[in-house]
Amino acid sequence: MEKKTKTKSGNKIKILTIVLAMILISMIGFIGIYTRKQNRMQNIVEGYDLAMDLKGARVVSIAPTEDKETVIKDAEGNKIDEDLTDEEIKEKGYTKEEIDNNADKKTKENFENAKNIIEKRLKDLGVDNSIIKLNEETGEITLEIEENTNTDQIVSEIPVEGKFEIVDSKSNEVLMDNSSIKEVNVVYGTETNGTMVYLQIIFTDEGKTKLEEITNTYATQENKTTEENTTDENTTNETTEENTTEEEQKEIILKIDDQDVMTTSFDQPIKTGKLELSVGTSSTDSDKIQTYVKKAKSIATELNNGKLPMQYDVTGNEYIISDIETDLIQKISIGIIAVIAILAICIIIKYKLNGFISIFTTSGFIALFLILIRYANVKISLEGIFAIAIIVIINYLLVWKLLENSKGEEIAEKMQKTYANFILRIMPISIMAITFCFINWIPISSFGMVMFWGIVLLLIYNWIITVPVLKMRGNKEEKTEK
Amino acid sequence: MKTKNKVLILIAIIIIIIGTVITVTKGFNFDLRYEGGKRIELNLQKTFESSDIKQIAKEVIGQDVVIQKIEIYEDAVSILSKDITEDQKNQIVTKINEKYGTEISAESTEIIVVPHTHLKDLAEPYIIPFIIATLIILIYIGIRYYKLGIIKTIAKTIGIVIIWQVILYSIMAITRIPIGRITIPLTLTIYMLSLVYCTTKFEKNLKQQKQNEEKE
Repeated sequence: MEKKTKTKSGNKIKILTIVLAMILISMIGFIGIYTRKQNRMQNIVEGYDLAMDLKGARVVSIAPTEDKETVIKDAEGNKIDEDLTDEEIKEKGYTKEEIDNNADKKTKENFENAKNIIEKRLKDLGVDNSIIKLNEETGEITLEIEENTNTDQIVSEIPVEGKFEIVDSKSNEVLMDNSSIKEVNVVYGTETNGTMVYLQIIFTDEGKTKLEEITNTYATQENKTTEENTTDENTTNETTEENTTEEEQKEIILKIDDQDVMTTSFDQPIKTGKLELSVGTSSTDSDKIQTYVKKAKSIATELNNGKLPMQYDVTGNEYIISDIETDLIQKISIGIIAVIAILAICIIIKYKLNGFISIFTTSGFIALFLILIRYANVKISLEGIFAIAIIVIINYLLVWKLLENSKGEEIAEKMQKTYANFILRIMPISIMAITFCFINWIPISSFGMVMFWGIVLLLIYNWIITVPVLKMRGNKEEKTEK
Repeated sequence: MKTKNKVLILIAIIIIIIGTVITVTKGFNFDLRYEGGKRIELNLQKTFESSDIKQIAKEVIGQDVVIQKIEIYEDAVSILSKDITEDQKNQIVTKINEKYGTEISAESTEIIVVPHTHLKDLAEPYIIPFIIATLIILIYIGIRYYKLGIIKTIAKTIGIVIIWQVILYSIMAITRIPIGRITIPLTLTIYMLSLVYCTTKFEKNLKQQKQNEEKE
C-alpha cells in the first residue's frame, strides 16, 4: 500500500516537473531570455534568420544602354553630314531626329535572351533566391536578390557584357569570339613561389581548329640575319651597306569586355583547344589567392553563360524592406493560432485532464521547435512558416492518436504500435523534407529544413515527454478503475 | 459509401465546378507585386509609418497599394499600384509634404513601370525538386502498399493529390485570394497534408486486409 502511494506521488511529481519544464521552455521559446547589456535589455536567445521575402531584398534595375545620336536628314531621308544650326535646318527643309544606334538590337528575342543569361549568371554566382522581371517593351530587367556580403559584387557583375575576342593587334580583325568558347574554368597551378590561379578557356571543336590556325599564324618569329657589307678602301670612299631583313612580328590581343587582357604571339602552336590565362601573381598568401580566385570566377561566370546581346547600365540599386511583417504574417499567425486553438479545445473536451496535460507538452514542443530552428541556422522564408504550421498540425495528430491509445490495457504496447504506425504515415513527407534540404534555392530548402528538424524533434520529444506522461496517467486511471 | 463521404464528395464537386467556371470567365486574381504596375519612390529623409503612407496613397489612387520602406534607415518609401497617373503622383507628393513637412519635388519624382512576373518564372525553381521528391514518394508508396496493388495505390495517390490541389485553386478562384507569394507555400502545404491523408487511408486498408486474411 505504501509502495503504491509512493509510486502515485512519484508520478504526480514527475508530471508536475514536466509541466513546469514545459512552461519554462515555452517562455524561453516564445518570449526569450532578457539580460541587461549596455543599459539595455537584450534577448540573448538567437534571433530568426529571415529570408528575402520576410526581411527585404536588394532591388537592382538594369536597362539597355542607349546610344543616341542626333541626325540631320533631308526631305528624301538621306543623312546630312554638315554641321547646321536649327535655323539652317529649317531653311533647307531638313529634319533633325534622335536615333538610337542600338535600336536594331532591342528586340523581344534579345531581351528574353539577356534575361536567360542573367538567370544563369545568378545561379553560377551562387545566388540562391531571386526574382527576375523583364519589361518586354523597354528591355529593362529588375532583379530582387538577397542582401548579404556578396550582393555588391554580384550587382557589379550582372550587367557586364561578357564579350570575348581575340583580335589582330594591327588590323583589329576579330579572329575568335564567344561563339568559340565551350567552357571556362578556374584552375590552380603550383609554382616555385606559390600558387597561381589560371582562367582556363576550353574551346569548341571549331574553336580548337581556329585556335591552332591562329597560333600558327601568330607564331613568335626568330630575328632574321642582319647583313652588313662594309667596304672601306680609302678614307674618302666609304660605302656602307646594311641589309636588315626582319619581318614584322604578328601579335594578337585577347580582349574581355573590350579590355586588353594580353597582347602576345605564340611560341608554339596550341593543339589542345585550351588557353590558360594567369590571374594575378603566384602567391602563398591564402587571402590573396582567394581574391584572384574570386576575380577569375567572375570572369568565368560572364564567359560561360554567353555574351549579353547588348550593353546594359544599372539604372536602380536599392534595398527595399519587405512589407510582409506588417500584413501577411499577422494574417498567417492568426490562422495558425486559430487552428491550434480549435484543435486544443477539441482535445481538452474529449480527453479532459489528459488532453489538458498534452496541450502543455505540445506548447513545450512548439517552443523547443522554434528555439531549434533558430540555432540550426535555418533560413526562414514564407514556405518555412507554412512548414512550421504543418509540423504543428502533424504533432497534434500524433498526440491525438497517443491519447486515443492511452486507455485500457497494455498501454505501452499500444503506444509503441501507434508510434510505428505514425512514422510510416509521415514517411512520404519525410522523404520530401529530406529531398528539399538539398536544393540550392532558399524557399525550398527553408521548407525542407524546417520540416526535417520538425519531424526529428516531434518523434524524439513525444517519445521522451508525451508518451511517458500519458503512460503514467493511463496506468493511474487503470488502477483507479480497478 | 457512407453519407458523410457522399456529402464531402458532393461539396468538392460543386467547389471544383464553380472554381472552373470562375477561372475560365474571370481568371485568377493576381497579387499586385506580381501583376506589375507603376511605382513611385519618395525620399522623406525622416522615419514614417507605412500605414499613414498607405492611407494617403489609397485615398488618392483609390486602388490597392503596396507600401515598402527603402534602405536600412527606412526614410524613403516605395508606393506600388496598378496605375499611377501624373496627377495622382502630384497629389500624393503634396499630401506627404503637408503631413511630414518635407519638400519632395513632384517634378523630380519619376513614375517607374514595374513589369509583371510570369507565373512560370515563380514556379520554375520548384518544378525539378518537386518531381524528384514525388517520384521517390510514389516508389515508396508502391513498395510499402504493394499488397493493396502497386498501380492502384500509386494511381489513387496521384488522384487524391491532384484533386486536393484542384480544390485549393478552385477555392482561390472563388474567394479571389490573390495568386502571389502564399500560393506556392499553400500548394506545398496542401500537397503534404494530402500525402498524410493518402498514407493514413492506405495504412487503414492494409490493416483491414491483414485482419481479413487472419480471419480466413
